[in-house]
Amino acid sequence: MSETKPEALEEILAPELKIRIVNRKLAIWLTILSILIGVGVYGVYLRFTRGLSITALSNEYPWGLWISIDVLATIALGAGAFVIAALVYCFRIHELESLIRPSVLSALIAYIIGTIALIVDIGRPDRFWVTLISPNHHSIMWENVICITIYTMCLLVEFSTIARESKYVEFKWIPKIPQSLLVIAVMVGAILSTMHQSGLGGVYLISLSRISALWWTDFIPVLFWSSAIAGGLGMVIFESIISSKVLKIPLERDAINIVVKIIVFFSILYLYFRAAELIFKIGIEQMLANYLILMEILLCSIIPIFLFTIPQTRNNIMGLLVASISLMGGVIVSRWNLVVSSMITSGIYWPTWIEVGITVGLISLTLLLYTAAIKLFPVYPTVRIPVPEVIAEKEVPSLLKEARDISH
Amino acid sequence: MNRRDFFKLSFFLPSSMALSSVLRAEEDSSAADGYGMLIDVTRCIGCGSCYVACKLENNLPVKDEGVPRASLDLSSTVFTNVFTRKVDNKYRFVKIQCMHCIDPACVAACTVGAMKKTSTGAVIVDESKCVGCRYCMVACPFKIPRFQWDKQLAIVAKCTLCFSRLERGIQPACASVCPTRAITFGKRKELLEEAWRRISSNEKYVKHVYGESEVGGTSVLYISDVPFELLGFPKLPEYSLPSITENWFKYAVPSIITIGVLLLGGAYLYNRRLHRERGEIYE
Repeated sequence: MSETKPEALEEILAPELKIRIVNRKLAIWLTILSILIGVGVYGVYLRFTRGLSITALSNEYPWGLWISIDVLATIALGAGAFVIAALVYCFRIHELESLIRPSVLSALIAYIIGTIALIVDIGRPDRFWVTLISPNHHSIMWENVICITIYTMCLLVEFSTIARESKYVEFKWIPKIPQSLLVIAVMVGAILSTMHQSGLGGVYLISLSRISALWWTDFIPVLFWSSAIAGGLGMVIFESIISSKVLKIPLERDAINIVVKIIVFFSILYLYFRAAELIFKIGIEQMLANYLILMEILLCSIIPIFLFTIPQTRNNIMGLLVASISLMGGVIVSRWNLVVSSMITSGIYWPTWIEVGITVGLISLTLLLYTAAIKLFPVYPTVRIPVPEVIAEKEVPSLLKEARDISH
Repeated sequence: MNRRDFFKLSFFLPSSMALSSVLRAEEDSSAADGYGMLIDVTRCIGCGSCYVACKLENNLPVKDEGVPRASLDLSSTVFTNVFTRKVDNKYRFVKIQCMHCIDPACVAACTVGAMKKTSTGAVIVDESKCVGCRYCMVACPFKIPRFQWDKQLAIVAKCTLCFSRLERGIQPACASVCPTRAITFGKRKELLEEAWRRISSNEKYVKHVYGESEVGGTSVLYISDVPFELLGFPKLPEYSLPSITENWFKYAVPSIITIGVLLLGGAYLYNRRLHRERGEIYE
């Protein structure tokens, strides 16, 4: 019995995968993630049995942590995929090709997590599908839901080309996507992404009298769109750096240098629409007096612009890492600000432990799905575990030489 | 697809969307003539009869015994209540309920179209459609829709202007029980005339009917002898809030689609041609 088991395992899993499972660091990582996901699952159980009274949400703050971080920020951080795919497939910037797969994967996971969070957040999770069959053509929220649904399908089409190449899971039954269809999926995806990445901010246009003039501007959609692109691409850089460290693969310097330029462009766009408008409308004193808005501007635009334009930090991994974390933090802070800080009300909102627990659980689920996906699918094409033949090829001459020496 | 089809597609799609939104705007302009209520703050004595009548009419649970009625905020089981405001050592009582806007933000916002402005003037929630996304709560300038926070499967609830009574030709419960006739029920147009008649016949009134032009007009109107800001009424723009969203669908969405198709399609076709001229294989 004990002897047959490993054999069976070896049959099912490719030897490479078996090596990975034994990996101690990976085991610890997966255990931590599983525990945190367990916490989240318990939180979701409490939410479904006791209703939303377990949250700190109230009539003054109808939306809170889940909508701002788990839905809005998560979807914004998935924006890197549509930019990179459009640049490669339509503008033929081949240097970015290596970034397509990781960004499509992270976008797909981000949209799945965003949808789960949305279903947990709404009052009737059992009829979430009503949003798809009962349209309100006046509602920006409805438009967002439709755009996100179709875009997720586009992402699945893009991801299916990666899935088909998996060595460990049988996905050959997926029809091969012709190049023309892929290009259409990328184009439709880019247009729908622009529509919902800006539209998610557009949701707040109608709340004119409910949110502070510091945050309500006609340009909320532009701010959302530009910060989502900058933050999403920031996450692509973050991913590349982390995966190059963990998987010990070379960093795609050429690709990152192009991405950095695009981020700087969109960060400047963000800074212009954010700060310039605020200074004219409200005055610089009031703008500087609010540390939240200052933090948003610093993290989303000023810090990354500086770090990306100064050659010393741009060519330094630490510099890139700090800038990309700042961009991601900026997206999170700006979403939190619009959803929570901007509300004109006497009440205060601070999430409960259950809300935080579910958020932590969802973040852990994101990381778990990502870890699993890069093990199962060829997301990083350069990842190669040293195969015996390759070692042999290199070492045969020296081994032969050694053998000859011994025989002599 | 040849070049001509491409241009046809890129222009037809956005322009048809723009056209449909223009047509929609024309349809909605007739909604201003419905029923409403005129609430005279000077007549209200804060007895709370309207609160009780509302609870009875809508079969709402009374689980808040032991708490003074005046301290109860609106909730999914309290559709209306009278709030005490102290202004310069004078007490005023303000009955708060849904304003039943002519062009309601909640109706434009609702993701699934569960909120409806009916021809009677009432804004109602379709309980079989609402998914509980709470966007109406974020959109409403008067903070009226309330969520059933303590329910497992929860939706949004609010005052319906006693829609079922209106259909039977009876006035709303709160208006029918008011002992001081602080609530006048009728057609909005007539109520507006009545409001200005009272204002012009008596010096004490503030020369403003709250709800006449706020967010494009509301079916519930207020008159008072104390400035409305001091009574806690929000200061609101005179245009309807959904008009902002209309602009989004009329201009932003068609431009995003047009620019997107032209830019991405153009770049793709340009690069393909470039490669073909060079004789390279384009994949």
